[in-house]
Amino acid sequence: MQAFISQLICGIELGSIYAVVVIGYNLLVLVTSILHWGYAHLLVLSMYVAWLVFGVTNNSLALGVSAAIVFGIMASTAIAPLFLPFIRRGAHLEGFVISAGIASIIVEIQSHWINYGLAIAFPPALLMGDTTIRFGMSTISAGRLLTLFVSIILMLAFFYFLNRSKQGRMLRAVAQDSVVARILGISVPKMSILSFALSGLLAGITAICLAVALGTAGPSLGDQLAIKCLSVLILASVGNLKGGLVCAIILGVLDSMIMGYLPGDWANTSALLVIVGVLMFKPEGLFGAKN
Amino acid sequence: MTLFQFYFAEFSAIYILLAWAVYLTFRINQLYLGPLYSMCLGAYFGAYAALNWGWPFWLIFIGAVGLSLLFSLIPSFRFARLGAFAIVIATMALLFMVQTVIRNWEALGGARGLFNIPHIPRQIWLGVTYGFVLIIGFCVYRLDHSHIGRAMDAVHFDRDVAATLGIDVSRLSIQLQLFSSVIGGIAGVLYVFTLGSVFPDAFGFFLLMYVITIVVFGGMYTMWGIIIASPVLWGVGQFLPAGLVGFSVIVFNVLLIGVLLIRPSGMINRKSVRAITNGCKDLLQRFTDFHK
Repeated sequence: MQAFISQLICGIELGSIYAVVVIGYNLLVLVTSILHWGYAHLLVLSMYVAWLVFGVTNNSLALGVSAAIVFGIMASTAIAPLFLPFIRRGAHLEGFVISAGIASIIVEIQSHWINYGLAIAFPPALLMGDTTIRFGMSTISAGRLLTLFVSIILMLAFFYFLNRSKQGRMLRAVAQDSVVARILGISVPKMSILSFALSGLLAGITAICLAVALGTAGPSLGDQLAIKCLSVLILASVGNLKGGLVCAIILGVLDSMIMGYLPGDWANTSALLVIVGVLMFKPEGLFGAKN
Repeated sequence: MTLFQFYFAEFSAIYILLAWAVYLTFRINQLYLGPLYSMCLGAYFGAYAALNWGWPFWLIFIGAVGLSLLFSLIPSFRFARLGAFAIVIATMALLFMVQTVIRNWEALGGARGLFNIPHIPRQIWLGVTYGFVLIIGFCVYRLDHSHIGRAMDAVHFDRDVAATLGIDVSRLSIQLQLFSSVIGGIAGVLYVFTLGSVFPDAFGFFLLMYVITIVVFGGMYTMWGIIIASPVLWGVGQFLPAGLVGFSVIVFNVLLIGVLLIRPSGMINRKSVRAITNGCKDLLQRFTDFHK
């Protein structure tokens, strides 16, 4: 029973990581209708940039954190024009293929030119000195609890932005119907680039959260995150924010149960099974409406 | 014939087959990656049958075709109705699942793979491979230039309009997916007997991106571009100068992104094919007129 609770807590920790990353995916899908496979890879690249800055500036937290955020915004905005022709045409599949190409390039850069392709480790000062919170016989790391809170705060902030600000309203208009939005005078390319820039900002903040929660990063982290977040999105119905949070936790728990109880290397099986199962039997997802 | 030339010829043919398989379903806006996991299944079946049961290669082909059909049949019933985007995700997930299952199955060699698969004399194997390329190429050509090909064009243009015209889109989708998987299974057997070994990591994301690049770069709406794109892209990896070999993955992806941005229908599209055929007909006409 104790093992079960430990796995459950581990699962909630994992789920909070997925929840934080899924917000960025949801933003891009809502506005541009393109599932940006490379978002997780960009996030991991921001983590690498933070690590590089930590190395150069003798572990200066402020510089490292701001470097990750600035890099996230700049890289995401730089990549945005590549997607514009596809957003305009509504060519979602080609947009996905381009994002997969970008992801491959990022993984290649990480595998060959940064730290000789080895995993990177973040300074202990960032990891809050390994503080853990005791919960009976189990412990939760403070870093992962922080990630859970940050994901909830980011989601609330994101909701506030979408519903209460002028730019948010324009983004929602483009998400609902880009043709009518254009008629109403909203520039769809500008909104698309804004959504990429916002997702870059989210990527930067999430990169710091993940650095605190995981402590390390490697070239394969982008692919792993991408496939897990994809399964969360599909389970929750793509574009559904609240559903995304709930399904991220569900998937995190499922993941940790499989890792805890099944022998062998079944790391991504839960995510893959969920994707195939949901797409075969309930393609609109748990929280989606049949259309 | 050197080993390098043999591998070049063999792998170009295998990738042509895989690209044709993906191209067929891509014609109806479904990027179905079933040929890739069928290739994995076919390759492992071929390796296991050759090593443990001593099956001859013609029987292994039949077995691989049967296995591919078996594993593609039930998913295809559900995938037929899915949108373009969901199919690529679902089949990618199936591909990774097959990879994970094989990695954990010791009887199939686990993560190390299977080795020492009996080699077949190069001349015979090249003949068999290109025989399959010709047969399947002929089938794809006839499919493209038949009422089924026109139905595929209609579905590509607008799925709902095609349905109102009486085209059973689901059935067409299922048939194409099964045919694609069969081609994938055959490619898998060709792969395993060419290389003499098989391991799960060969059927991962890199293979996926590589085949998609060939289809997109060669031409998404015609089968001929793939015949040129496959050796060219395989050649990029082989003929890059030593200093740039590390960049080959980046070169592929830049080519992919570049083609999608600059010439979205691929290097050889239908207009080019028509222009080349008309040009050849003109030349032939002038030649026969000259000799009259």
